[in-house]
Amino acid sequence: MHELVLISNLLKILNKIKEDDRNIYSFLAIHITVNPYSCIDEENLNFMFRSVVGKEEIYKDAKICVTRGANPADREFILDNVEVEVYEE
Amino acid sequence: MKNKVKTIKVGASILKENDKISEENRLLFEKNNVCCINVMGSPGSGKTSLLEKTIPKLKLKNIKPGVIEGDIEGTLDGERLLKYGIPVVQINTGGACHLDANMVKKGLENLNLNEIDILFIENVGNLVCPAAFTLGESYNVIISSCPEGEEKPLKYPLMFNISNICLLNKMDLSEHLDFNTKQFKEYLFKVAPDTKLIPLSSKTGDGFEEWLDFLYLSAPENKKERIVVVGLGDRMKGDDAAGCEIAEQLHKEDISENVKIINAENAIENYIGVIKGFKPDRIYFVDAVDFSGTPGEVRLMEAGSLVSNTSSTHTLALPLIIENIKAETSAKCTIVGVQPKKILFSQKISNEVREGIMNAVKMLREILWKKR
Repeated sequence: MHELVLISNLLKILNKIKEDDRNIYSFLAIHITVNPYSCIDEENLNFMFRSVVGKEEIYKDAKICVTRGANPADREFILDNVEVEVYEE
Repeated sequence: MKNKVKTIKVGASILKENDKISEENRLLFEKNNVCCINVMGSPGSGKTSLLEKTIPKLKLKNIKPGVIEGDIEGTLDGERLLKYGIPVVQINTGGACHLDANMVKKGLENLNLNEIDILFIENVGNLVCPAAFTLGESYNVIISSCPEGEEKPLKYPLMFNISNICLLNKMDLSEHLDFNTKQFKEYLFKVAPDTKLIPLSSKTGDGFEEWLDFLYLSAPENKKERIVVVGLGDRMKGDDAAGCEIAEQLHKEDISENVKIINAENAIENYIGVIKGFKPDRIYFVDAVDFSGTPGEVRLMEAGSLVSNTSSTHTLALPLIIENIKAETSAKCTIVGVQPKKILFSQKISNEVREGIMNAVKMLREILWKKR
């Protein structure tokens, strides 16, 4: 269930990135780091992501890639970086 | 026109909104001298029964408890606790499997914190989701119980790892269930070596002494938190002097022997020994931090929320400094960031940041005088 909260917060950040760079037309990879003990599962998270974004064109090729951090005391979910396709003159 | 793939570095906390509100809640607890305990566990582990047994004991010691009761639906648990004549606020999450900081913030609007010494937040029964959301608590407590089996720490490691205390409840049933306490302890130690285990029974009261001792010591009147405030910055670089100015202003005040103010400027490495020797429970790092706010804005941030691309103004990055000091002292670390307007050599502090300095001093003064 908390996957839904994570996805909705993640989308807020992605939408801000999209607003800041109008040349982006497709998100490809979304790399996040989670606690090594987190119950977050990459497949579940992607399923939730797809369910929320639906057929939105800009996210149609996007995949969330989860890395487990090294420090169990760190409870943060960090969006490390995103790979995007951009129009280039 | 052709297409190109590029990577954008972000480094943002996905739950930053929750973390921000959690920090606001924590500050509110600090200001009101309230110790907040987030009680988590699976449905049926005995969270409410534990509170029913605990509350009368606290009242006997003149410690004033309060409860925020989190449930998906209904008010049954809240009603059980109201019978003990304490302030109780029921939160129904309406389907959500955990409490978040904003729900707690709204719950706090219905509580008079002046009437509370220890606030228990009974989270929604769940061993997964509540572990992901900080609420502003001072301590996390996980209640596990013998009927759940010995292997729970291995199956839900995050929950046990983030908890300061693991209460192993229903010990009166252990022999009937062939529950292996030693095995549970080994599993717990494997995933959460720093979590203290207290086996007890809410039914018989066995083992409650240790739990109550922890609460007595955590009650604000018994706990004098040792605090260090570290001012960081460079006096030669305009707004970068904010941290130094704040530390200097606080230094003039004789607050308490439990509070130490250090103006480290840009040589924090020279003060590691002093900080460590003071054995602080909490350290406030005061610095000019570019968090993209308005100039002079003051923001309290948990140490973990400062990601590596947040600009500090010193050669050694602030997150790295804090990480090292945290490892050396085990203190909770908070950053008091003042948004600089401009950081230029031989410049004066801007008017906006001057105002920010006054606000930060006022805020820290309130916190420190409450803790003295």
